[in-house]
Amino acid sequence: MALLEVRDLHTSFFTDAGEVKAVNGVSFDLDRGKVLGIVGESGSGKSVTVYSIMQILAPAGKIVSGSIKFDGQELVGAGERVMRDIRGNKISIIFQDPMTSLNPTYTIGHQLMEAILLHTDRNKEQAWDRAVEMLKLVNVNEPEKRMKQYPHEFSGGMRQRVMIAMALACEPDILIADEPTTALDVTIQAQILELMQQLQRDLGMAIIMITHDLGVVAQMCDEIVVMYAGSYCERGTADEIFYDPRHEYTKGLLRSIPTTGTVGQKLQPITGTPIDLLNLPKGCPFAPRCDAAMKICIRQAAENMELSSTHKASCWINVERNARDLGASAMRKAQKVGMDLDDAADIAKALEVGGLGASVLSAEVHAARVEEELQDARQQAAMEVREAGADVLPDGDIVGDGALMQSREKGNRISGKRNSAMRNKKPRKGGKR
Amino acid sequence: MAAQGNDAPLVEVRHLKEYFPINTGFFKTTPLKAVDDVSFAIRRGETLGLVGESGCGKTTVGRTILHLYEPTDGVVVYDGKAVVGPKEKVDIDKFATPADGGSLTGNTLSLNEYRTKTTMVFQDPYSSLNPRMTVSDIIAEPLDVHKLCASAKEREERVLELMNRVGLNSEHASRYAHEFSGGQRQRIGIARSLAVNPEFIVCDEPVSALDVSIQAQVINMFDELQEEMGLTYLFIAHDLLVVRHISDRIAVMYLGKMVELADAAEIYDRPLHPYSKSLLSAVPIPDPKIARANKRIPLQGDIPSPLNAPSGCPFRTRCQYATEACAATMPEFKEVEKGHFVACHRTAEVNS
Repeated sequence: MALLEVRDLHTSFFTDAGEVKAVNGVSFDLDRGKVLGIVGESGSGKSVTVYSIMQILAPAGKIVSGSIKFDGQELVGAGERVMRDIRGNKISIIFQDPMTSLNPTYTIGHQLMEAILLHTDRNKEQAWDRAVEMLKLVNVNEPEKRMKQYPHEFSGGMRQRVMIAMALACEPDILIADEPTTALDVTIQAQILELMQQLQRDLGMAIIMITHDLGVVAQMCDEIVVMYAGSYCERGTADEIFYDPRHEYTKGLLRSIPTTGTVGQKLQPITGTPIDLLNLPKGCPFAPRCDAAMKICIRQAAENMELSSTHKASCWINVERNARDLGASAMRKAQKVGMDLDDAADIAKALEVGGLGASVLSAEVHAARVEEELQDARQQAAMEVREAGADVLPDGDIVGDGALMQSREKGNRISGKRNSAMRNKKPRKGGKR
Repeated sequence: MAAQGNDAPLVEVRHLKEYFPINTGFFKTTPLKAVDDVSFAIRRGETLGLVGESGCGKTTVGRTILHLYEPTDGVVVYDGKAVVGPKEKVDIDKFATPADGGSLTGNTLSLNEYRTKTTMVFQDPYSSLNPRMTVSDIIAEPLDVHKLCASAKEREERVLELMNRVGLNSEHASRYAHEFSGGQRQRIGIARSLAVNPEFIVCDEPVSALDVSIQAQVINMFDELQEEMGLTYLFIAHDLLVVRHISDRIAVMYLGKMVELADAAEIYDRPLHPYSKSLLSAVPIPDPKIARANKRIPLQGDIPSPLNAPSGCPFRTRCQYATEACAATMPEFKEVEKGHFVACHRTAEVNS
């Protein structure tokens, strides 16, 4: 069982203008000792997701449905008493802005000791020692002297260290870091990230890292959740997300960031602007900005498709890819029974187009039908071959990679000219029967 | 993009200093040396990136070049002419070179004229637009100030042309800034800065406040405008990947001083100053395999207060190579290789 299980979380803000669906069906698991990154633009609901976990939403915000299980214990509807025991003790949070998240009227020491006194049975003296120890842990020089100082006497990087010390004082199982380094310079950011990594290794806690900086995610995270307009697009290991993105939004994000490889070239931005959460569309929220949007994307939001045991994406493009794979395998089979390549390609095309126009189900039905046709064709061909007096076809794979490549290429071309293909769909020629 | 045109600099900054008086006691002020003796040149049509940590003086350099702050000392030479404000008392001849004929007096550019050729795009698209003005008034303000439009009709046409150029709809003209998203606001700011048909634009962190996907749109627009209008940019940013993407050359600043200046590719592949090395190694690379293998050169401590800057080289307190010589004198900002300037006493040892 995972340490934290979030299932189909829906959080809304009830404003005068209407219900703002800030989080729309987010699910993820977090295991002990892992770093999970939540990535997305501003307004994508990443902060609201973790605020929902901590239940520190603004008064207008409410968890509408879903489940959040921490160590098997349900937190949704658990009540303030339970949450008070969890917050700062089992799950801690570091906020984005170190300048405003410390109280300017209390000393650093007072603020550090507060959490310790609240959650442990240490007395004041022991709490002081523990606080000093924590400051040492996060590399604050002269911790005893620093304890008596006020936040304004600290630089931004130092304040963020204090925030981390405060969050870690009770040895939480989960540390939530909400854009912990956005307000900091790169050199300080590197120090803080390294510190977090080291503490995570030493203390064995899990981290949820919220950020819009893909560089930070690449460096820190084992697993990544990509969010857009309150829904999650994709979830997978860092390598899966960066090297094999399966949602058009993730792909767009990765294309739009400058890297050393983009020098002298145009960046490929995602067109348009983020969507208005008050009027979410019926279909995929990203469809209005998506270059690869299909008819189905506007009609219906894609469900969560499992691509591997760790990789999930909600994007119809994967069905297309699926259909293309089916098409390719159909072609291979057709080749096996000696079907004319052009005819096979037509079947493959019809399969793809059919798959796209309708839904997954119809693609599968289609695939099955083609499979049947192919069976027939195979028997037919085998008969013909027998009649011609030759031996029965060898059962091995007689089609080389060349034909497969060709069919893939064809598939790609088709998907590029998808719309025109749909309009000018040729009547399908029958196979050699 | 490569620098076009000849090598003659469009903007030349010579020994620029900008000190702000800070009250440090009763009747006592201490100068805060925000920019301390900075010299560089920007060629026509190129983009010079300016990077550094917050508080290093990069924004002050940008603003002082445009004389938004009156320089404490030093001179900005624009297209061969010294820029002089109406009340400025800096002795500009002190900075004349043989190329200027030994004197800059009599070869000056008034501030008013200078500001029809240079403009600025500000960092924060939220606070840099007046909430009480409509978009068309915001964009037309430079036109009104410099009286560049003869009639109301011409003004309107110009505004629509500018809005069109930055990808805004003409029906947006009568709206107010709060009705727009961050990216669109930044487009309004850019349209405003283009109104006077400038040659040189100081872009002060123009994309820092924007989301990644919008950021790419705005960066591309800067690229396109440069190609179409032959603009020259000073591009100030702390996001080093963005700077690398857009700049031809990059300058690194630390605590009011320029420590390194070189071609963008050169400075990324082979930084010579220990601070640049550390800064560049700290950039998180958006690629997990590279990021995991990346060896960061750690930098201890925080940037010192500019009120209380270390003697000699400002970086010595955090530099692992620092010696006594570094504490004694400020290293000269000199050209160690063609086009590669570094201010470090120990360039040779650091890079051996």
